[in-house]
Amino acid sequence: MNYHAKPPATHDDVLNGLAEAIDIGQSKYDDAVERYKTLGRHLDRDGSTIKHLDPLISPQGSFLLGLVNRPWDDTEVYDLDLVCRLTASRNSVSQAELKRLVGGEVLSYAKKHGMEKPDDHRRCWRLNYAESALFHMDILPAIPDAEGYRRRLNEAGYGELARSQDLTGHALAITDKLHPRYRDIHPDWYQSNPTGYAAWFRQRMAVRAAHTGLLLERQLVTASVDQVPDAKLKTPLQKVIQLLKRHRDFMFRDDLDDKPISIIITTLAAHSYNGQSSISDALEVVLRGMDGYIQNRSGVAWVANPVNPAENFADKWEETPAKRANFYRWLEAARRDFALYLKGSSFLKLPKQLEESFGQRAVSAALGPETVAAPAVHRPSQGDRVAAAAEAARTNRQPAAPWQAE
Amino acid sequence: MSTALDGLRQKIEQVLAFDQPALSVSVVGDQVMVVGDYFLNDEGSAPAPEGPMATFAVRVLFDPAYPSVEPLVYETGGAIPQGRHLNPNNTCCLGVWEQWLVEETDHSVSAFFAGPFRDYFLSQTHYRLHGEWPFGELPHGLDGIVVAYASVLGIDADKKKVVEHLRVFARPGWPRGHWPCPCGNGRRIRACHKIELANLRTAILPAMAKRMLQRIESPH
Repeated sequence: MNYHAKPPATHDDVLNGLAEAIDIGQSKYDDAVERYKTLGRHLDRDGSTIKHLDPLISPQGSFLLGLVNRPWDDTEVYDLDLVCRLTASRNSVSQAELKRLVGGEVLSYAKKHGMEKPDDHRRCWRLNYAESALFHMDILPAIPDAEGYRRRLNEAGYGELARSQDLTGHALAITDKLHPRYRDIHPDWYQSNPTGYAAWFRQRMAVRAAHTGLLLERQLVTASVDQVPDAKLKTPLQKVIQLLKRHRDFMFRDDLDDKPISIIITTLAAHSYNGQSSISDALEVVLRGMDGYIQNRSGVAWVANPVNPAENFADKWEETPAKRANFYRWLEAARRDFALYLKGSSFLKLPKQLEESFGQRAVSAALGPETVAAPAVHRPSQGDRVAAAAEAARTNRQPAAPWQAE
Repeated sequence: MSTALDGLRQKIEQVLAFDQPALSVSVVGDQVMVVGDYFLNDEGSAPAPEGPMATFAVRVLFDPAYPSVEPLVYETGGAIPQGRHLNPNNTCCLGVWEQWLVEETDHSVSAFFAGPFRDYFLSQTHYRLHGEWPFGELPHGLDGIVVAYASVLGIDADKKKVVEHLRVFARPGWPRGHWPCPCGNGRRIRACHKIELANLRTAILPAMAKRMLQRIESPH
């Protein structure tokens, strides 16, 4: 949808315009998809040393959830998080060996395309594209492990969750250099479940059908969980999270280490969202309620992974209290800044704090060119609004009549 | 900081969160102070495209004994001229507090901001734009108190009758049937306004009646 086709007339129009302006955008998005598909074809080509393991590349994280923003200052790079699923058994290959096998093919891909040698990170391989492309591609070697994942959920008392095919049927065992048995052939691997999380997120972002088209709901909620969401179709929840992430990115532009992490913002926002069809309603509901989903487990702040509640997304808060403090500081600022717009400003006047967060380019795109006159829209005068408000007050209750001491 | 004071501060913060983002809440001495810009908005959550109907710079002081003690409200931006329901000490006169306490059952901080506080600034804005008070206005001084109390009691605005009614409610125990009816017609209560008085007594307990009596006899 192109929100610029007509000048904005409401706060919702402007917020939608901002969300669209900070989104990765269709062409960059298509570019990213093409790049990882090309990588996938390389890994699975005839002659690939891992072809017999049926490598399958798919996105995870913000790309899979449809939450990718443009870099806030247009100089950073996009992080495209990918999973490389391989048909292998934990009983026949070590994590180190699987990482090495995938690394060899990623290296050959990099050489073939004249790219730098991939970086060997703790869990993944990082491919650095040429500067002009502004991409990092993080490739996480993994093998399917729904059975092991479900067993652990059952052991932890989450049997009902373990029985859900959508939420746990695509869980993975992943490589991690810090795992104590990293170099051994051993069944104990760390686990991850990005597809299950995406399935949960899709359930949460369903718009109440009574308010908007059933079409949108059907398309977004029943799409295959592995399918990359259509960049053009965004739900209010996705837009709200993108706005909040941008606000966070600007606020912590000089404190990248301890900024609130996206998975915490995404999880809490998705819990708090309740099917609102308008972006302003969704934003208000999310900002008012998101901290209410931080649990207190024996004194430990816990942001549970919805597809593995034994995992705490806020596990770093204990050892680094600044991370916890920053989360609450950010939430307070986000509440204030967005509320100043929604409750205290005309739709055409973004508060200074939001203007700075979103930048001139996005703000101009959302507000439209100043030279374009807004169409004549009948709006009640201030006097009519006040009279109507007084009438509403009289209808609903007995308003107080003012007095004055002599 | 006392627990009661901090509890009140938190309550006020919760009520104002998001709805009034330009108001800040703090404890000052033995009171909770709310200060900043108050946005007068339409009811309901959808933002009006034009923004607030009006904005007022305010300072509000809450005593920890709220709601028994009326909050002091100041308009600090000079938007309300003298003579338009400002008290001699420059506080905004939202109404006669006991009238709100008796007529409404919800005295929470939330009800205060949605009720008399909003009504006052809506009234002021309406008067500025239309030249009339949308919810009426009480006469200044003692006469206004008499009118407000008479309205609560459902009787004519006659100070003597108001006082007599309040004296009945101020006496401990149930107004006895053989007492003379405070309406002044010479009959006993059981033969006169028995039902009306019984209904009122549930709202005007002896402590409130004594408070109202004290105020009507010493309005400042």
